[in-house]
Amino acid sequence: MLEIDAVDVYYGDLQALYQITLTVKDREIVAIIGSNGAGKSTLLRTICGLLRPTSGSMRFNGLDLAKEPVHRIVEAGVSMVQEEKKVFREMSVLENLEMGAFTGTARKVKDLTMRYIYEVFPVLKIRGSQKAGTLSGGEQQMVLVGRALMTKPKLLLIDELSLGLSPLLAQTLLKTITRIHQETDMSIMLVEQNVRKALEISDRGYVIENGRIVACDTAQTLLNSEGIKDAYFGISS
Amino acid sequence: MFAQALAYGIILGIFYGLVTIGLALLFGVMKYLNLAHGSFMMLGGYICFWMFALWGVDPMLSIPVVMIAGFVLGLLLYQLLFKSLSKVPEGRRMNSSMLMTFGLLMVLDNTAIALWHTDIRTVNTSYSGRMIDLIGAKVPLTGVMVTMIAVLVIIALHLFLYGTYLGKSIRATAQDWEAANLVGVNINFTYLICCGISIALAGVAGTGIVIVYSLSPDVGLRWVLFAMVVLVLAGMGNIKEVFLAGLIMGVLEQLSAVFLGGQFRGVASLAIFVLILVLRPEGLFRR
Amino acid sequence: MNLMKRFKSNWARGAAVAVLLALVLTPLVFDLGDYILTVVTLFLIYIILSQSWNLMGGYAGQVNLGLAAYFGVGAFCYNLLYSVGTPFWIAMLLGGLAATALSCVIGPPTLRLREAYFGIGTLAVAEVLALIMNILYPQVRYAPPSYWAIFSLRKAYFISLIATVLTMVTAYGVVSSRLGLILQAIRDDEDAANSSGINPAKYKMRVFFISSFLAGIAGGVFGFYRGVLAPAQQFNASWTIGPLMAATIGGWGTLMGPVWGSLVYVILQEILGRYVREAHFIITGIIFILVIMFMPNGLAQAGVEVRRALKSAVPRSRTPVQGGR
Repeated sequence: MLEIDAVDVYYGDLQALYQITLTVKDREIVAIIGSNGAGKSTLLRTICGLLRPTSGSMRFNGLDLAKEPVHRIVEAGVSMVQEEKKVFREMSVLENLEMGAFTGTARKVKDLTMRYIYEVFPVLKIRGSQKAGTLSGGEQQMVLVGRALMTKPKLLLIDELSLGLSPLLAQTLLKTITRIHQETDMSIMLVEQNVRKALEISDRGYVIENGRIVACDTAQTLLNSEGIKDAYFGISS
Repeated sequence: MFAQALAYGIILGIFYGLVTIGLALLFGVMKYLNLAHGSFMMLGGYICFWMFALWGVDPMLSIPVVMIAGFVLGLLLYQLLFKSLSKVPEGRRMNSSMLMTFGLLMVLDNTAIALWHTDIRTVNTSYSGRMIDLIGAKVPLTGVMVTMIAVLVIIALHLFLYGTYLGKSIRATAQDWEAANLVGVNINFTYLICCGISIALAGVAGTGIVIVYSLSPDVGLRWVLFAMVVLVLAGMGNIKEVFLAGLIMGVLEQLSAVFLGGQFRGVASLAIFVLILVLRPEGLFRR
Repeated sequence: MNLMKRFKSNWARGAAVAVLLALVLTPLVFDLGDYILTVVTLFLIYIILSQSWNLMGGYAGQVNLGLAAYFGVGAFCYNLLYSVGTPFWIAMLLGGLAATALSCVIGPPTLRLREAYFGIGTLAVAEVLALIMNILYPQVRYAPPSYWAIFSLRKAYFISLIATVLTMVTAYGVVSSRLGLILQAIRDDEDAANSSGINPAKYKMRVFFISSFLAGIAGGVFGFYRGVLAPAQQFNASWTIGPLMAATIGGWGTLMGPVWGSLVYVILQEILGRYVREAHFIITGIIFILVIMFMPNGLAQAGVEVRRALKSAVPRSRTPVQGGR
C-alpha cells in the first residue's frame, strides 16, 4: 500500500531524513520507533505532504505522494492523528468530528462513521456540544482519533499518541487503536515514544536513529532483541 | 439628548461592525492585514454611485451587484497579490501584508482620483433626508436602512460560517490551518474564497457609506483606520465579536462627540485606541 | 565565499559608493545649476527620511506607517520657532525633539505588542494629526521676502548635506552598537531574546526615539529649503509612502539600502512627474507592490541572492514554508 524508497528530507538547510526505505502493506500495523528528534514525526509529515522529499519516491496505492497537495493525499486515504493541541479549539466536539468528514467520500458515510466513533469513544457523544479546547488532554486525543477516523482513511498515521497522557490513559487508547484496527480494514503507522507498548500491538517495526533506518523486523523479533532492549527499554517502559 | 446620542451611536456602531467584518475575516483566517480594505469599500461605493447617477438604480438595489463585483475583486486580489505572500516566513508576514496593501491603497486611491476626481459625491434618493422617530430619538431613515442591511449581513454570514461545510472549513482553517489541511481542506481554495468574501463585504460597507454619508477617494483611508481600531477592540483574530465591538465604539464615540464636537471624532477614536492598548491590548473579548 | 569573490564584490560596491559620493559632493565645488541642486537636496532629505524609517522598519522590525507625522511636526516646529527669531539650526534641533516627543504617544503602548499595532497606531496618529492640521491651518503661508533675501539654494543643499552625514553616522552608530546587536537578535528571534532577559520594547523604544528625531530633523531641513508653511502638505501620506518605498526598494535592514532606494525613488519621481504627471503615484505604487512581491529584501539583498544562486551547487530543499499555500 505504502512504498517509500530512498527518500531524503530537509528542514531548510538541515537534512532530517537519509535514504529512508520502508513499506506498509494492507491491514498492517507498523511501528516507527526511535529516540526524540530521530526524525519519526518528520517521516509522518512527509508522507501526508506537509513536507516534501528532495529525492527518492513515495507511492501510496500508486499515487505519487511527493507531487500531490496535502488535501489530495487525504482524499486518497491518508490521515494523521497529531498531538492533542491540534483539535479545532473553538469548535464543539461534534463540529470537530463533522470536519473530519470534509472530503466527498467521507461525507457520504458521515453518520455511519460517527455512530461507530460514539461506540468506541462514548465520552465524545456526551461532550458533543462542548468546545473542544476545554476538554482534557486525553479527551482531546480521542477527538483527534475520532476526527481522523471520520476521514475514512486507508492508512492512519499516528504521531505520539501517548505523549502527555497518563500511562493508564495511554494504555487504554492504544488498546482502542488495536480494537479499531481489528474492526476496520485500514493500515496503521504508529510513531510512539513508548517502545514496548508500540511493538506489542504492531505487526512490524522500523527503528530510526538520526534520520536513518537502523533496524527493520517483525515486532516480535524487535521486542526480544537485546539491542532494542538496551537502547529503549530504559527510557520508557 | 442622551437617547439621541445613543440612537446615533447604535447606528454608527453597527455600521462600524459592517465596515470591519470583512477585514476581520481576512485577518482571522489568513493573518494578513489588508490596509486597502477601505479602498475596496470606496470602489464599492463608486460602483453604487455610478449605477445611481448613470442609470438611476437605487443604492439598495445595487448591493447585489457590488457584492459580486467585490467578490471577483477579492479573488483577483488573492491570486495576484496575496498568494505570493505565502512564501514569506510567518514572522514577517504581517509586516509584508501591511506594506503590500499600503502600496495597493496608494494605487487604488490615486486611480480613483485620476478617474473620478476628488469631488465629494452624494446620492439623493426619495428617502435621503427623511428622519424617523425611534423611541424618542430622531434618526435618519438612511441610517436605519443601513443598519438593517448590516443585520442581514450578520445573519447571512452566521448561516454560512456555521451551517455550511465551506463556511465551517473557513472557521477551521482560521483556527488551525494544518489540521484543516489534514482533514482534506484545500487551503489555497479556502483562502481564495475567504478573500472574495472579505472584499464583497467591503463593497457592501461602501454602499452603506454612499447611502448614509458621502463619497470621495480619500474615504478609504479614513474608514480603514476606524475598522482597525474596531478590530483591535474586538481582539485581533476574532470574527464574531466584531459587531459588538463596533457597537461599543460607535456609542462611545457618539457620546464623546457630544462633548468634543463632531470634527474631532477621529481624535476620540485614537484616544479609544490608545486606551485599549494600554489597558487591554488583546481586545475586549478573549480569543 | 573565496577571497577573490569577496574582493570583487566589495570593489564593485565601493566603486558605486564612490560614484555616489562624487555625485552628491560635486555641487559643493562646481555650480551645476539650480535644478541639479534641487534634486540633490531632495535626494538628501529622502535619505534622512528613509534611513529614519529603515531604523524602525528594517532593524527593529516595526513598520511605521505614519512617518509623515514626525516629518510634519519637525517642519511645523521649525517654522514656528524660526518665525519668532530662533536661529535656524536650533529651530531644526527642537523640531527633531518635538518629533521625538510625539513618538511617546504611540510608542509605549504599541511597541510591546505585535507589529500590526505599531503600524496601525502610527497610521492613526498621522491621519489624526493631518486632519487636525487641515482644520487648524488650512491656508498656505509663504515666507516674507526678507527670508528669500538671505536664502540660497546652496545653503539649503549644504544644510541637508550636513544633516544627511549626521544621519548616516547616527545610523551606523546604532547598527554597530550594542543597541544594534540587540535589535538584530530581536528581529531574528524575539522569543529567544525575551527569554535571555532582554526587554524588546525598551530597545525598540530607544530606536523609535532616534528614528523620529531624524524624521523631525528632515522636516526642519525641508522647512528651511521650502520657506513655506503648508502643514496640510507636510503631514500628507506621501511623506510616509515615499521614504517607505525608498527604504524597501533599496533594501531594508541594511545601511546603504535607503541610500540606493532614495536615489532610485527620486530619479523615478522626476521622470514620472515629467512624463506621466497624473498617474505617477499609481505607477510608483505598482512598482512598490512588485518589489515587495518579487524582491522582498530590496535591491541590496537581491544582489546577495543572485550571487548565492550562482554559486550554489547543492539543490535546495523543496520543503514549503509554513503557513498555508
